[in-house]
Amino acid sequence: MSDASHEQIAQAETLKNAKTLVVNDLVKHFPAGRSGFGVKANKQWVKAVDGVSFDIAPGETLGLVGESGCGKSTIAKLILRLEDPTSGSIKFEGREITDLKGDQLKDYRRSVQAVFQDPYSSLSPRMRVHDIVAEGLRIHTDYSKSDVRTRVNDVLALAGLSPDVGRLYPHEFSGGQRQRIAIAKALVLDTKMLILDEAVSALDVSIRAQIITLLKDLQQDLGIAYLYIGHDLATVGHLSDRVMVMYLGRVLELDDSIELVRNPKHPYTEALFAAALPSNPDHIGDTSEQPNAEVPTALAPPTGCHFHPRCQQSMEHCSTHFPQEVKLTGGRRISCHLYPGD
Amino acid sequence: MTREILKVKDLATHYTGFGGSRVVKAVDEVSFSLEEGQTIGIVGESGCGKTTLCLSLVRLLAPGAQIVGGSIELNGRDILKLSQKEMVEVRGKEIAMILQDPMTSLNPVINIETQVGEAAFKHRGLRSSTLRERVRQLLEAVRIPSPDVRMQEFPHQMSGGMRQRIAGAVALSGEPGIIIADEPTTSLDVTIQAQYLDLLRRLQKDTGVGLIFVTHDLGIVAKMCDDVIVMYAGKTVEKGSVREIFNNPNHPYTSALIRSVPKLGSKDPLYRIEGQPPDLSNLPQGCSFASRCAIADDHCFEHEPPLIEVGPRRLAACWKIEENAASKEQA
Ligand SMILES: Nc1ncnc2c1ncn2[C@@H]1O[C@H](COP(=O)(O)OP(=O)(O)OP(=O)(O)O)[C@@H](O)[C@H]1O
Ligand SMILES: Nc1ncnc2c1ncn2[C@@H]1O[C@H](COP(=O)(O)OP(=O)(O)O)[C@@H](O)[C@H]1O
Ligand code: SF4
Ligand code: SF4
Ligand SMILES: [Mg+2]
Ligand SMILES: [Mg+2]
Repeated sequence: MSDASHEQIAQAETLKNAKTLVVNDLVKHFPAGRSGFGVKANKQWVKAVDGVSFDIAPGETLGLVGESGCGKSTIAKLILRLEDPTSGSIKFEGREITDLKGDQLKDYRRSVQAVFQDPYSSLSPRMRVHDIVAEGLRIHTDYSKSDVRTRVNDVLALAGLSPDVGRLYPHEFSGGQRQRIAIAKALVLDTKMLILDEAVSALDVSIRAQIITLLKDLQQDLGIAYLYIGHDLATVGHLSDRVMVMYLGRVLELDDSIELVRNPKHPYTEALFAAALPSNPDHIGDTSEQPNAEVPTALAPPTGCHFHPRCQQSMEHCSTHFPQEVKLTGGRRISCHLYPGD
Repeated sequence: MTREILKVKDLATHYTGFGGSRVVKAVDEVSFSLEEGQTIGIVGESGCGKTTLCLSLVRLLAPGAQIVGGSIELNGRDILKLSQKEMVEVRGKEIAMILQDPMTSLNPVINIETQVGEAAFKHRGLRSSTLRERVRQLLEAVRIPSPDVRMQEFPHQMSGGMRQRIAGAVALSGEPGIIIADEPTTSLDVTIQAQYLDLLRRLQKDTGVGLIFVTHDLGIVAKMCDDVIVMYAGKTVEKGSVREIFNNPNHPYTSALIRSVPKLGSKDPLYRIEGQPPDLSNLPQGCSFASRCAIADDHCFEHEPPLIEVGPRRLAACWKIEENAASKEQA
């Protein structure tokens, strides 16, 4: 074998091992209450994201679950650069993106796209579907009119839509079709990562199954990395390679999705699984052990382990000491005093 | 035998638009009955007529909608014969409804005490301190912490889960025999949803209230219901006990629905029902599921299958029930 091909193989190896996204110790604090009022000195902060780290490989889906308000959408917005982090780092294909500006930021935006929950509000109502889907090409390329048309028709086809839909307006479509349009729009450039924030949550079961299958097929064909955000554990588990569980701005547990579902270890993950709806009336779980308290707000998170007021297994020091994250054998990350690590 | 409290027979509700030229058959000859302490689930895709059915049962239909046939017997009397004025006496007292969206069902400018107390005031004649005591009990029953403080507050001061529970307290206030819950938990977190569903079950045990649960989530049906009606394009396509329907569905639409839901811990490909439900103002000839049905044949596209008895207390509307059962056995 020649040196050149050795080099090529080595290069291919690094590329394969390279992560699409590496997030390290990400923090986002929002000022609480109406901004601009009040005395600055005793300003309160919502710790929406409070020291979160994870990575996503090309072609991989990382699932993100947690109750509403735990910071899921904030993470999405930080990655999309719709919000600036308080601190921490986000590396996309090895390059720090939190301080990108101008053309470099524009470049980054070509590669990272998002699909949100509400297919009704995420598409501009006065634009035809063709123009909605073509928007990215107009901003980022100098394609000719006919090249634009070809590319738009291609991605519409990828999303399971016929080219004819291009001349219609969003209100002429059902929720599922609108979500397909949003997916086509997100794929029109050379997308390397898709953020799916509750992208199928508002859809009917049958349409949901269509979109989930579409997303899986697209990933297989295009090798895109997904961050899939949801609160339905069955759907998140189904779509994801690994799942990350968040609570009040922090990661509590992270592992391979099948491992996590078969053997949840963190008491909060266990509670989430216990609360999940059964898929058959013969398997109605015992939900009498549900944590009762309302979800505390990120504005005033409980001391120590944030979950301790709702935890059935809470111990004395849980209310005073924050549990450090440990890595268990097998690679699971967990943050709970029941698992002190080695 | 327990007492039958609701008997719906051949109910048909249509929306008429464009001067009568466009008729949406949102509910088309639906029949079922409900006994004391029983929970019945109504499932189906968006737009199949679930909410219209519920609104018909309490006679709160939008203008343009009309009940064009059938009967609704509530505690032995046909409420379709009552005037709207007489219905005011029935609603909240005999039958109450929790709407799809708790934010729109609660009045934003009226405090919680007044809203929760309204039906108890109107239908049960409670006044002053007795009324307040009743409101406190109701808020406690739906697990609202510090009810004395909370009852002075307004809906926007509550979390989504609390608003949903307060909507439940409003429905319970007049001590109705029947509560209809239309997608009561779609917007809630799984943990709050589980709490709320457990709460409804407990209240049912204590009071014997009959529940009608409307949802497109089969998990809720599995958890909550005794019997289930599967609706498609305004019609009942299958009906039976929840256990039998889940373990041995007769109608291809029912089995497709069950197989299209992701299961915890499984990555098996989901079954996909291609296409979409038909336009209810322009229903196709024959079986309305035919264009999406994997085993449809020419006969299905031409002739509509009747809803027939396929077992004890089991109904289904499909020409190929035996064939479908056989194909399931092979699979
Ligand atoms: N006010 C109205 N005027 C005209 N048509 C209506 C009206 N409300 C509903 N419809 C139509 O009646 C049919 C049944 O609607 P309905 O709201 O009962 O469905 P649903 O099963 O409750 O759906 P979802 O799951 O989305 O709540 C649909 O075709 C709908 O478009
Ligand atoms: N722009 C903002 N200003 C102030 N607080 C915010 C803002 N966006 C989100 N938050 C707060 O941050 C926390 C996390 O919110 P979010 O990321 O939307 O959660 P999730 O998507 O998990 O439901 C919540 O307490 C929320 O109220
Ligand atoms: S650290 Fe303590 S309170 Fe927190 S989850 Fe673990 S056992 Fe429960
Ligand atoms: S009647 Fe025919 S088309 Fe309709 S559900 Fe049965 S097999 Fe399918
Ligand atoms: Mg969110
Ligand atoms: Mg509805």
